[in-house]
Amino acid sequence: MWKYILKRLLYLIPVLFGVTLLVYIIMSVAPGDPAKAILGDQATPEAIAQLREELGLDDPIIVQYLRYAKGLLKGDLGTSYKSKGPVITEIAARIPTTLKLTFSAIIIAVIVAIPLGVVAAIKQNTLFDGLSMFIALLGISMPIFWLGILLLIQFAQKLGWFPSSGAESWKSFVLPGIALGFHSMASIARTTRSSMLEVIRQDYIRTARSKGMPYNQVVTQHALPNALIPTITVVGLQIGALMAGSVLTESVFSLPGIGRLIIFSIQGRDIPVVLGCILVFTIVFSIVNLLVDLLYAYVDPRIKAQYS
Amino acid sequence: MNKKMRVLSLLMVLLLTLTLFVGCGGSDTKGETNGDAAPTDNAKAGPAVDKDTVVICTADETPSLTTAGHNAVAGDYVNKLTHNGLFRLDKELNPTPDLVESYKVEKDANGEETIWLMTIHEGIKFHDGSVMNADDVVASIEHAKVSPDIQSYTQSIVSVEKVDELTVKIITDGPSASLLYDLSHHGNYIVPKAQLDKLAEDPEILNNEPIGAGPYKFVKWNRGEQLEFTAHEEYFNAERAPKIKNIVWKIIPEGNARTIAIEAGDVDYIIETDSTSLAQLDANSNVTVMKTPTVSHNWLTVNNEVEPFDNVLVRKAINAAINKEDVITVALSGTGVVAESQTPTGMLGEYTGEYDAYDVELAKEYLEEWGGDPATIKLDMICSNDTKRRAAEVIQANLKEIGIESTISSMDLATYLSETADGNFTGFIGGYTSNEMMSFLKGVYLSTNIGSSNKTRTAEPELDELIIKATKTLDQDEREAVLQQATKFLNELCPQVPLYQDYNLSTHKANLKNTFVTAGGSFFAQEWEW
Repeated sequence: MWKYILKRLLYLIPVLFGVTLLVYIIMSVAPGDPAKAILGDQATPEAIAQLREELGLDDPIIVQYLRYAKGLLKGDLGTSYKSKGPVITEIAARIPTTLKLTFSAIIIAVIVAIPLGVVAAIKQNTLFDGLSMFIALLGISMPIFWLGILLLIQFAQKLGWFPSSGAESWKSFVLPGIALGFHSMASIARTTRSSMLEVIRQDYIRTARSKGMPYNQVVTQHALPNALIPTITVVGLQIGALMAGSVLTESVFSLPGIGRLIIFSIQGRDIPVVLGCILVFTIVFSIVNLLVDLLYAYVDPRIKAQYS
Repeated sequence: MNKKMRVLSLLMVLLLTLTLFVGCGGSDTKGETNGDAAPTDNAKAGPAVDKDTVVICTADETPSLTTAGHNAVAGDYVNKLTHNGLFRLDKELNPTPDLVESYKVEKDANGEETIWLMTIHEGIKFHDGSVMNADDVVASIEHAKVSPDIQSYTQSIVSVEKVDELTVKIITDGPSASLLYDLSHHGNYIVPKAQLDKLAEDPEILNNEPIGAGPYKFVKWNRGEQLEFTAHEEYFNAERAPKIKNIVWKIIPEGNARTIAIEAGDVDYIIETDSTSLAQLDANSNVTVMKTPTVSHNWLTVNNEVEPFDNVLVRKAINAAINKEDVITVALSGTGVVAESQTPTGMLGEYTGEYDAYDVELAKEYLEEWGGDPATIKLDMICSNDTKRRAAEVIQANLKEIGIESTISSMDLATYLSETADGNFTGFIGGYTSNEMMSFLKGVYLSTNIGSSNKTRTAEPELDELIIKATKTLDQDEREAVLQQATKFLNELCPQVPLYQDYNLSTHKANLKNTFVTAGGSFFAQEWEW
């Protein structure tokens, strides 16, 4: 098992360099000069030339990337073109907010979605099933941005239960967590329902029932664990999607996270900051995928046997 | 349809209706309360909860607190809290002494007024308790001179040297009418020499520990979220000392979220109000919306190097064909005034003569005089945001009336800035904001700025001469005449199509007093009081 984990972590190193190279090339060949973006409309040609030289933008792209990669090997994520401060500082200040947002969203989504999917499956074709799938459809269709504004109007402006902006306490993450988690909740609930429907039709479920085992026990002890593997996969993938979705949620709820930082950095062509954010996303996504794989082994002993 | 399905359908309709009510319900704009009402109805936007603190919210975060390290408006706001310049712009945008107690201009060996002797007030204290002297002034200006971000504001300064403990001598590259404006810019604000001396070992010191002599001291910066400031108890100018002790400076990028925040009582002052929320806020008696006409000049730029826009008749035809009132209504929800000249009104040197107002028949006459077929004119208008796009849509409809077909393209801001600076366009919707006419003319029309801020790519030696002459004319009346001459020249040349000067829209709680916004968009937080 440990050998497997180590192997997966080592795979991460070429992935990170591949991702940074790809993003560096894309950002460099994309139209838009970082020097002009930073200096704005009022810059003089001399100032633009001076800043390009200071930032090393006149060098060939490959030279610029190798310079960046050399720093990366030493753990240096570079200096922001815009703030002129270390990228690591910019990102470190924002990681906690994005992680809190992502995990509050996934917790809200899982807590609601799994019971919803299970009950919808065991009560297939009932009013509850229809209603829960309608909620799932609503969740998938409703833009995060719009839902966020609705929640703000109702619960921050009208009722005053939650703050309208900032990340000062746990309360600050409830509305963003709901807005962001609603979309994932829909996907997880639908997957859980489908998976449960497949499992409860299996012979071993029928056998358990015919032995006289109570229905609730059959569902929780036999059906649910077997139906969870696809759900775990979806939850893992959703964490990646939630980090991407955090871009919009952080803007609506004014949360100081990496999502907002990456958007502003892309707009400002602040390449080192974009690369730093992408690195964080890649690492988190890869680690979550690894955890999902390990969780398979926990849930399904057959997979654990493969690892050993 | 069976009974269950009917019930389900009914529930769905109910749910959708509920979301619509939440979304469209608006707010209680009358601020009525019913005793134990929820603490967030609009009455909360009334009395301040904490009279020692004012919570300001803004759309953009400063890229840096280093005064010479950026040229961002968002940064200018916070630099004004923590630092001072030798001069500052007053409420009418005129430079007035700030740290400087007295100054005089002397002639050099060539008989030109290029030597500026400036004496600062005695006993000005920085936030760290140290006393400001001429060394700090010299070091700050020398530091600003090497920063590319603010190069336009240090160009006229050749050198600066210490004369005595409180006096410095600034040498300019000829008589400089722009020097006092430049010294009012945040890029030239004064920081302690002791901090500048540590830059080599700690390049982030000015950003992480900004120390100035301004009315507020920096306390904390939670990046992406908020900054905090507290009053500088030993501020050198008692008359302008802060009246509210603490400032919390929140970053709220979304316009709707800012409106919700002030109506929920979470913030006290919005620097940039979302124009789509105006009706809602205007109807709320607990908040005050300030609509201040600005000197920000916005236009449709056409590339003067590309046919047929190199022909003045075509440019004048396009200018006369556009109904600018409609542009303001559609793009700005009415919050602007029609631009009446190639340069902004509201500053020294304004001039509106020789400028054509909206007149479709006149536009057709210009086209006839030009002699070409309007259908052959290909104009693509590049836009970088929704406001510009809405303006372009009105222009598109207007130009159709005179037979010109145009298209609209959208670009992100960085691409837009590059493409327009490099001249890769036929047209775009743009603008320029400057607090005074000289830097406006230099930035927008001086031929040496082709490739950067001179986006019409105007290269007229006569105009260049007038602009340079204005910057070297110290006498205000004479300078005004030169500036007017330059604008007259431009109105006849019609390098671009001025559209509007927009309003600055700031909103604050009704009980916050002494708020004032200049035409340049600046405000004076130290004067505010509850």
